[in-house]
Amino acid sequence: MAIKFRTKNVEVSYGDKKAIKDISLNIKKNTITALIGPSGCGKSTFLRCLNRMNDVIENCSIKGSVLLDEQDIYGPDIDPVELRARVGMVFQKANPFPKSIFDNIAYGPRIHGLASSDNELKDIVHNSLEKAGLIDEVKDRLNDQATGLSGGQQQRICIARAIAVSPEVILMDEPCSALDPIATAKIEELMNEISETYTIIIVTHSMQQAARVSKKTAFFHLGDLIEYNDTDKIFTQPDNEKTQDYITGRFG
Amino acid sequence: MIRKSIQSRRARETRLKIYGITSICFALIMLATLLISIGLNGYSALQQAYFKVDISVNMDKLVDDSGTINKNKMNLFNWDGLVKSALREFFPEVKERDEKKELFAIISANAGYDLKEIVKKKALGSGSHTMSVWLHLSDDADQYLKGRLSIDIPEEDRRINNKQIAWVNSLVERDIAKLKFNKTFFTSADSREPESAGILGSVVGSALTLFVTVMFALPLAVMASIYLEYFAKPGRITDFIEVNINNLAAVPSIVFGLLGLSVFLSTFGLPRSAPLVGGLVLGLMTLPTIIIASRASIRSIPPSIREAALGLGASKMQAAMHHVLPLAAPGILTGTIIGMAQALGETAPLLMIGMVAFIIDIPTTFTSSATAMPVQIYMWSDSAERAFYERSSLAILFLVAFLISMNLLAVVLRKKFEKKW
Amino acid sequence: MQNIPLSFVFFMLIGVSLFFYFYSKNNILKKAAFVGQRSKALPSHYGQQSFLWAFIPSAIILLFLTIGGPNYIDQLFYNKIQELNPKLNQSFVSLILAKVINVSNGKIATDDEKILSLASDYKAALDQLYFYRGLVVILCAALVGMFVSSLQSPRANARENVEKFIINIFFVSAVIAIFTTGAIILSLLFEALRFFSLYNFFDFLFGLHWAPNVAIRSDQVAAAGSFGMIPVLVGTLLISFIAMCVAIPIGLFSAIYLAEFASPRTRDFVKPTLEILAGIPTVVYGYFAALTAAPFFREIGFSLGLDVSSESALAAGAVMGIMIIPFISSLSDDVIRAVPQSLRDGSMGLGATKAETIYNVVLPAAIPGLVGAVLLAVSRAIGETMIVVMAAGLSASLTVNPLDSVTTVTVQIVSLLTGDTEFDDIKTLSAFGLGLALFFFTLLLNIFALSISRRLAERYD
Repeated sequence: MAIKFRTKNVEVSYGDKKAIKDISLNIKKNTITALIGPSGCGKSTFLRCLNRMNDVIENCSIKGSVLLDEQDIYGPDIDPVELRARVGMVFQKANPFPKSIFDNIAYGPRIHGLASSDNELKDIVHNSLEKAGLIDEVKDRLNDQATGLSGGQQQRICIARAIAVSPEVILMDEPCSALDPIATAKIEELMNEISETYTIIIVTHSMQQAARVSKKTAFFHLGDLIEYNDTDKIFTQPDNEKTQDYITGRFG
Repeated sequence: MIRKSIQSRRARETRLKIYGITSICFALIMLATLLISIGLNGYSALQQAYFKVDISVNMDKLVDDSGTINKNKMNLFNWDGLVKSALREFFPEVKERDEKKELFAIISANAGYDLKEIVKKKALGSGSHTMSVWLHLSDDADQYLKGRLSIDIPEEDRRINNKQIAWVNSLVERDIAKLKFNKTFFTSADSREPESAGILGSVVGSALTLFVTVMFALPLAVMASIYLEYFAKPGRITDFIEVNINNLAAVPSIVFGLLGLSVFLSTFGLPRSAPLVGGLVLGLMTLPTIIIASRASIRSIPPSIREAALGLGASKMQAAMHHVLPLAAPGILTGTIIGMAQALGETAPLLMIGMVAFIIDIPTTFTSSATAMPVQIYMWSDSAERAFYERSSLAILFLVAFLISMNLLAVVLRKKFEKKW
Repeated sequence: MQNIPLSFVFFMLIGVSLFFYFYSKNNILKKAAFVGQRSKALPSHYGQQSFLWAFIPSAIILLFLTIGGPNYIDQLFYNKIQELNPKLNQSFVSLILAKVINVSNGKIATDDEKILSLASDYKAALDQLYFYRGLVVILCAALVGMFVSSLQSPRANARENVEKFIINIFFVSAVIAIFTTGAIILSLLFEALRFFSLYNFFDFLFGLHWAPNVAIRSDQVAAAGSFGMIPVLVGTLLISFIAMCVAIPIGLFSAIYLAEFASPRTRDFVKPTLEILAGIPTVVYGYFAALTAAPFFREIGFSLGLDVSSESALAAGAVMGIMIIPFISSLSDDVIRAVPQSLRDGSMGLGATKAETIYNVVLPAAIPGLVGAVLLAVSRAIGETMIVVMAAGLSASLTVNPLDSVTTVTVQIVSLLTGDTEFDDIKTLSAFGLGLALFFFTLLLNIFALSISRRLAERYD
């Protein structure tokens, strides 16, 4: 399988503090890769490197290389704006805009000029909602405020919103941590359905979730990449002792 | 796939940044223009045109038998004549009556009065004394020497004619007249003649007024805040009080002046133009501001401190007064300073209660007639004499400098006492 | 009768009250020993109780006598003078009274026998008043103090009583805010109603002609003066509109830049500097408007072939706008920064540029607060006085041309009340009519601002 992201010796510091030191990791295309590890180990920071969301943070510096389809995303000729249309993100707490459901999904296509007519835009919104499995629940109330939906529905709106831009990669930063088990299950189901079209990288606190959804898993600890392997292998026969300790619950 | 050109989107962002920077620069340039234009107008008021004469005075003509100065005799003595004859000595060629009038116009109309005051202060012993005194030139001569009087316009339209210019120049050449530090500005009260006018009267008036304002508003504000935060029962009355306070904070200041006029002056019969009334009016005006600031300060104290006191058996009042209030004091103080800075610059309400009268004495009590600095500036800027322009500009510079330092003090105090709980 | 000065009475009052403080404080211990149980409160509380009882009623009497007493005497002498001179009208009687007062305190001299005798009577009356004032106040304090301290019992919890009393005082302070609003409404209403009894209310509210120059004689009804406030209102709105045209774009864009783009160092420098603009007294802005801005606009207009008045609405409005800039930029900055970062992240994550995020996500979310800020700024502009007094005109012309001179509500109030007219004159009363209109207008604006921000905020929650 092809490599979507090739990262080499990535190091990120906030001021003087090093959050990640020397990560080299290759993400496979059209698979779900999980990043696990205890709190503060740098997995979210690493995730945010992949779509240059760390640029938004003050005094954050990055070293090393991150290649998307063999192109350095930190190169001078790459605009983060275009990058983020290819690499979408879903956040920990659902953050729909205080607008209607339709406008939320339509936002991305509008700013990138993806639809040349109103009808095209409507189609994009409908397709995204379908893919996100929400269409039946909201098709009659597309003009209602998105903030009036339940937590799980809001998060799926955010996923639909990300899908609407037709990205190649979807980054998910603990998308289910604020949701109840039923909503979580729905989102995991969604992830499985779309994983053939998109490369998905998910940061998760829950090892069970990682085991359920992902094909490859990377274990982070205190800013280092401890082990990266097929999910089955990591959870049954990890190579590294630290990994073993973590998954058996000795720490974290 | 992305159709909207990334360049046009980026260009939009650059435009937004440019709008922002331009706006900020505009505001800052306006501030600079304001201050600089006033400064250019006012710096020359730091100096004043004086001329030196030698005067001989026979004190025996002015004292009682006991040797103390007799007020009546002082008032009746012809000081003007003394000054005028001294001036004529510099220009013995001036003989005609009309020409003499023109000559005397180049010195201050108050020169005689000023001389009398100087002699009074010197407390000379008996007998004849000769002394050198510096007296003011007229405001027109003063403005001419500072280059503020345009002399390229025809003579009839000017305030100072060619002969007078020649005389003034001659005095300067002979080192008898020159521009010296304008002490009068800082030591006298208002006057009809610009050269004798100063800001001391209005400074004292502002000080007295502000004192009343603080004494009235601060205790009331603190008491009201403590009540609203700790003792008020949540209900309609409390809500009503809060709504009222918030509304009052946005009422135009002139309305408070109208209130003062009809209630304090008309109904209560308090003296017009007094710092007492001005202070009460400004106090009512700043009361909502200080209440809002005090409440914010009290709220920022963690409830754990209050709860600890209550847990030891202190009453609510004791917890509030002994524990919360001292900790909230810096914030309350900062809010008060800012409120006072606001009150110091207010003019409209004071106009309404009559502090716009022409006051020549420095006020001594809270019920004597007084004026305040901003009102003085307003009155001076309204007058016809050019010399008042530069004086009001200088007064503005002082007022603004003082206000900026008050605000800086508030900011410094706030930073110093800022505690992160 | 000796004239007892106010300061003396006041200090004596404090002294007497303090005496009872210490007396009660010591006394209660003896009483407690006598009864055989500890007092329910600390001795100092009993002391405080006596102090308050001794001080406060007497202080109220002192205040009452000091303010009301001289007024009463003035009224007595006014009547006396009127009796002696039944043919003189009001203003002359007042003049004579003023003379009598000034002679009695040595400010002026006179030869008139009648006035000299009245003056000495006046001084005697005042002396008598002040003597009795001192006597009554001190006696009252002493009597009440004695009464209260003798009644104090260790079984009563003095601390609770004192605190309850203080809480009531605190309550009264809080209520003063309501009283002030009520006093404003009542006093304005009272005078305005007197005005409306002389001039038709609807002619005032909807009249198109404002020319208050009536005949000087105060007993002549408003036959020659018109008090239609529409032109004055239009003038106010015109100047405020111009001010908003300056302040809103500059204030808003400054706030956006400071909140979203500026580095912390830039913010630390620019924000306090803009605050300086807010701290400059309005009389200084008026000065600048009248002496620099107005001639400037006139010159520019001249070179463009336009006739710009030397008291143009444009000059006054532009300078007022500059004054309001920090108001809008500071409030907007707070509002924009309050928008949650998660919304921005969501937008950036989709590949929006910062500007797109601001225009499409941040600003719409901030609209409630921004609208509130703008409305408050408008209210400020409408109520502003000094800038327009010094830079706008006095004659009311019904126009929307910014190059013309207009007058505003506040200018008229000032000009009507700082002249030399009598208080009952219809001109001065019309100022209160304007004041009432101004107060209600700004009140409605403020209420509207609050409610609209709240309503919009609910939508976005």
